[in-house]
Order: sequence, then C-alpha cells, then structure tokens
Amino acid sequence: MSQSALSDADPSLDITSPPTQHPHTDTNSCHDAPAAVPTPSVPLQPPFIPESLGLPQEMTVADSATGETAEVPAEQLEPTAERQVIECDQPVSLEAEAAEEDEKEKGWGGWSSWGKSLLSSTTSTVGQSLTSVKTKAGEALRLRMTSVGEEVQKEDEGAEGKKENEDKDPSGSGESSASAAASGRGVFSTITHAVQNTGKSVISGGLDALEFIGKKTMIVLAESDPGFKKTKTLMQKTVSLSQILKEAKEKERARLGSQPVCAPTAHYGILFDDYQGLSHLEALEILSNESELKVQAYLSSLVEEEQEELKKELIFIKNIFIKQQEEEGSANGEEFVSVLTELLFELHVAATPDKLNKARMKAHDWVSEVEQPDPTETVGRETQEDQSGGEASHGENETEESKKDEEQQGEEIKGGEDEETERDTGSIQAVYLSSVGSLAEVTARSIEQLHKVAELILHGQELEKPARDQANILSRLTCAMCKEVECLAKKFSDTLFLVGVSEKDCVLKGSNSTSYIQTAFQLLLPVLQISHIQSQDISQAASFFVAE
Amino acid sequence: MATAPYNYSYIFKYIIIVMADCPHTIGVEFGTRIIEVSGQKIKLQIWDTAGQERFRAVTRSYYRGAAGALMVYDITRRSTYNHLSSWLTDARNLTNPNTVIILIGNKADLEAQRDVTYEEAKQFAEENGLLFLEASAKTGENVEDAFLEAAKKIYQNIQDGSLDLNAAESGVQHKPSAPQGGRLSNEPQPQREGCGC
Repeated sequence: MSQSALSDADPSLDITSPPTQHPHTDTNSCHDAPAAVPTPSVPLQPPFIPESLGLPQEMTVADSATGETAEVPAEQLEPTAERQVIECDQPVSLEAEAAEEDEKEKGWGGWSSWGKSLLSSTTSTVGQSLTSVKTKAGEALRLRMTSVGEEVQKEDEGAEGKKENEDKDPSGSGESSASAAASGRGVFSTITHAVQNTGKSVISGGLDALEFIGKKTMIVLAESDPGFKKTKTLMQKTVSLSQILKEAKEKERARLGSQPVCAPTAHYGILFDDYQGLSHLEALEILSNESELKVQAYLSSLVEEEQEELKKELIFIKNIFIKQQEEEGSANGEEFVSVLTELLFELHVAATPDKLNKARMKAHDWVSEVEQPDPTETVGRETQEDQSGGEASHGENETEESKKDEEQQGEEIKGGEDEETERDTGSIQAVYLSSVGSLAEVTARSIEQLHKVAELILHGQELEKPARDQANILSRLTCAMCKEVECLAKKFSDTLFLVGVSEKDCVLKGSNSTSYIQTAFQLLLPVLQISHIQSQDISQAASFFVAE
Repeated sequence: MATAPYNYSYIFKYIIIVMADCPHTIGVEFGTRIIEVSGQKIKLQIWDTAGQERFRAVTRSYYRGAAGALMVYDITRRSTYNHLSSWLTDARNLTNPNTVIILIGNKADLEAQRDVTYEEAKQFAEENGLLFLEASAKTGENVEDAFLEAAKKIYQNIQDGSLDLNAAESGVQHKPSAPQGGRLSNEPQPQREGCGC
C-alpha cells in the first residue's frame, strides 16, 4: 500500500498514475514457485544491503515508525518473519556475503534488465526464503495474492524455471522441499549477516533482532518489485514522505503554472497541500523523528537490564502498531462520526474531530447534492444509500459541530461555491474537481488530526492513559479514518460514473489517501514510545531529558 | 483555491512565535501566503506557534529549517515582551545563522494601553540584530509589511550568496522550473486531469 502511494508520488510521474506493480505481486509469484531456482546464484541479495547495514544497528526498536515505514508495509509479514527467525538460528555461513556486495550492486545496477535472469534469481530467491519461512515456521504467510502472480509470470521471460517448478510442485508451496529451504538460506544468511553486524547487543536483545530481520525480509520482498526502484531512488534522495509529496506537488504546480490559466485544475497533490495536509505530515515527521532520537538516546543511557525491560515494553507498543485492525467497521457516516469522537475522547488528549468531521460532512453532502438533482440518470440503489448515509451524518454533525471552527469558514465557503456552480452547470469537470478536492480535504484533515494528537501527547501534562492503550485506540482511529476515506472514494467513483467519468482515478486517490493516513499513523509510534518512557519513570526520564 | 497562482519561484518557511498570556494555538497551525519581492513571487509557508513555556517542548521542534522567524509580542503587556529574550535564544539556537528574525509589536492600534514603548523595543531589536515593526493584527496595519520585510531580507541574503539554498535547512526552496515565461510550454502536457481548456 505504501509503495503505491510512494510510487504515485514520484515526481517524474503524474501523481495520479496508477501503481502498476505491487510488492505483493512478486511475493505472490515467488511464493508460488518456491523451489524454482536451481542456482542460488550470486546476485542473491539485491542492493539493499548497503542500506540495511546503514540502519541503526543497535536499536531498531522503533525504527519502523520513521521514514522507513513508508516503504515497507510490513504489517503482515513482519510477525511471521519474526517467528520464523527465532528458529533460524542455525549458524549460516556468512563470510562471503559482505564481499559480494559490490558485485551485487553492479549486477543489480540495471533494473532495466528486469525480466531477465535477474528476475528469476530474485524472485526465486525471495520465493525460497518465503518457502523457507513457511517450512520452518509451519505457517503460511498470509499474502494478499491471487491472480496477480500470473501477470508477473507473463512478463517474466527469464523465469521458465518457475513454470517447470510449478509443474513439479503443483501445491505451489513446497512446504517440505528441503532444497527450497536450503537455498532459502541465501536471503536468510544475508539477514543473519546483517544481524551479526548489528552486534551482540541486538542479538542478545532477541526481539530486536527479530524485528530487524522482519524488516529486512520485507525489504527483500520490496526489492523484488521493479516498480519499487523509482520509489527507492526517491527514498535515498529524500527520505521522508512529505518531502516526496512536496516534490511531486511542486512539479505538478510548475506544470500547471505553465499552462494558460483556465478552469481550475484538479490535482490531488496540490489540493492536499492547499488543505495543509503536507504541512501537517511534515510537522508530524519532525515530531516523530525527534521522538525517535530521544527514545534511542534514553535507551542507550540505561544499564542492560533496564534496557531489556524497556525494550520489551516498547516493542509491545510497536506490535500494536503493526497489528492490522480490521474489526472497526464504519459502514455509514453516522458511525464514523461517533467512532471518531468516542476514540478521541478515549485517548484522553484534548483533541476534537471538528475539522475532520466538517470536511467529511461536506464531502458527503456534496455527493448527495450531485446525485439528487439528477434522478433521471441511471442512479440506482447506491444513490439512495448514499443519500441516507449523507443525511444521517449531516444530522449527527450538526449537533456536534454547530458552533466550532470559525476559521474554517473561508474554505467552506469556497467549497460551497464550487458546489453551487457544479450543480448549475452539471459540468463533469466540476464534479471531478469536487470529488478530488473533497478526498484531498478529508485526507488532509485526517492527517491533521493525527498530528494534533501527536502534539497533545507530547505536550502531555500527566499521562492519563497508558501509551499502549493509546496505541490501541489510535490504531482503531486510523482504521476508521481509512475506511471512511475508502468509502468516500467509492462514493465519488460512483458519482463520477454517473456523470460519465471513469471511476478508476478516484479509487486510486482513495488508496493514496489511505496510505498517507497509514503513514501518519506509523509516525505516531515513537511519539507514544517516548510518552511511555516519560510516564514510566518520570523523575529519571525527566532528569535525563533535561540533562540532554 | 485551485486558481491560486502556481507560478511562484521560491518557498520560504516562516515560523511565527507569538508571546501571549493565553495561547492562540497548541502546537502549530499552518497558513500560506503569496508575496512578491523584486518581481519574484514567493510562497510563504507559515508555521504559527504559541510562545508559551508549556508548549515549548513541542513547538521548538518546528523551528528548524525556518528561513524567517517572526517573534510577536503584545505592546500592551509587558510580560509578553519580557519573555522575548529566552525565546530569542531558542530561535537562534534552533535555526540557522542566516535565519532572518523580525520582532513585531502587536496591537499597535491600542496606543492608549501601550506598556512597551516603541523606542525600547527598537533598541532591543537593534542590539540583537533583529528587524523591527509594530503592527496590528486587528486592523491589519503593517502585517503584510512584516512578512514582506522579512522576505526582502531573505531574498537579499539569497542574492548576495550568504544564504546557501542547497543547505539542508535554509528554509528556502527554489523553483527554477517555475515558469515565468511559459518555459515549459513546449512540453506536451497530457490533460489527464481533465482541464477543460
């Protein structure tokens, strides 16, 4: 998910361009063809190695919440990988690995030659490692992968071996294949090597190592995605998501500036920035990075026992962030508002969802408006549902909102004008603009909400709620926001479909939106961790931070 | 909103630190503004923070990478003026040496309730190498000027080379590609966003 957002944000592409590759795609294909590789060839390790060695080597407790989160949607894989690694302590010879790095860099220099033998070796390597994971942990990686794998196969000229292999092993998983497990060592040896490099402290840290390995595994997977290359280049250059988005936006802005000024042009990235989404994301990144540094500094100031103890606690919090929260359904608007309000209240920080509520209410109202005046078109059941949803949320919102948020008026009014003109002219253009604009606004407000929560937590007087509880609540909150955005995107596509625009685009932007929100959520992890530390031992931590 | 001019050539990050007895915001609020200096359109990205002790831990995180800092006190409340020096120290420590700091005495419309004289603040500003203005957010007097004065100074620093745009935290983004004369117009632009023209 994050990848798609990032590759969309690639300034060299249009931000709206559909992500063509998903990491899962390859994961999948590999997964299907685990024992494919006759040659555990030299370029087993993609060029992520140098980068991985440059990672914080001592403490990786919280690092998934920094910039890296953006590139690695590790939620699903990490836990599995971690479990796996526990058993993966067999001494693997690693000596050659470091020496091979340079070669690999060369060998991998040409991503363009994707589809050649490189592909087969990578994918199969990854596949093997996954198989190995499966074999050892006895647990399938729950990868969202289905038909995509076939596409990859088609593209993949050099992977005939894979096919053969599938024939040999129709189960596709090769659970018990000893050879797969053995060649899987390629990747794991890399990993183990990296772990060794991180020093004894990490290995003795146990969980840290597992975490680290989990991340490496994800990077291996991500690297096998050709579409990831651009993202990765970008990441090396600019690191933070807000930076990338900023560049994308500026590029687009420059493009717009060069055009004769005419009708307003909808560009999600620019609108997202106009609603200050980018600024809030940037500010949240700042807080996140600073918190991360503080966490690391504090950890390293502790004696070993205390350190281990604290790490466990921090990892506990981290695991809450990794877990996928699916149970929270916000099928209709009413529910979203109350869920949002309730969760924010539960957090025990003085954050109110006014702006966000207002934005989404506006969005839903707008959908209703578009659909209402045109009953002649092929409206259908969905419209009715939308309308009832919209109305319900409207009523709900009115009571909660009425008097708040004066400063938002300016924007609201502007938006209102847009809506009016759109209704009068019935212009497709306007419908499209409003859709994209609303989506951008709700997304920006969601991120603002998470940023405010971060500020309030950091500002925190006395911590009223344990950080782990807050983490759980925030996870649910994020989930609710994402669902809401998806739901909105869906409505917009339906609406656009009504007026004759391909609906794909809006859905895409919806997925951008959710990955921005997810990224923002992950940025909260170090914030909660430092908050936890500060509440744990107030006197000790306080003196530490003052001394610092 | 979508018709905003997108052809500015620079973005400056401004941090506003408002000394006040009751904070107008927790953390940071954002605003943007387009101004023009020497024929160049400049977009100001404004980070608006409260200069209150209890928020300091959070807000000072945002100072880094500001091209301009606007320190605002209330001319009718000496307490706000008295806090300036410690916040100035913060701002100096956390921003880069080229960050332009401008001191702004707010509520200039309330002359009758004045508690800090113009001369006193002016002297403080001079001693500390700050630009100085009195303004009124209420009437809007001098507000634009405050943004503009700081921007001029930053722009001057860019022109004479004392502000390195390539430095990580200059607080300035240059947009060389920003078309001043439709330089990009020869590039075929796909109209996939559905621009009607």
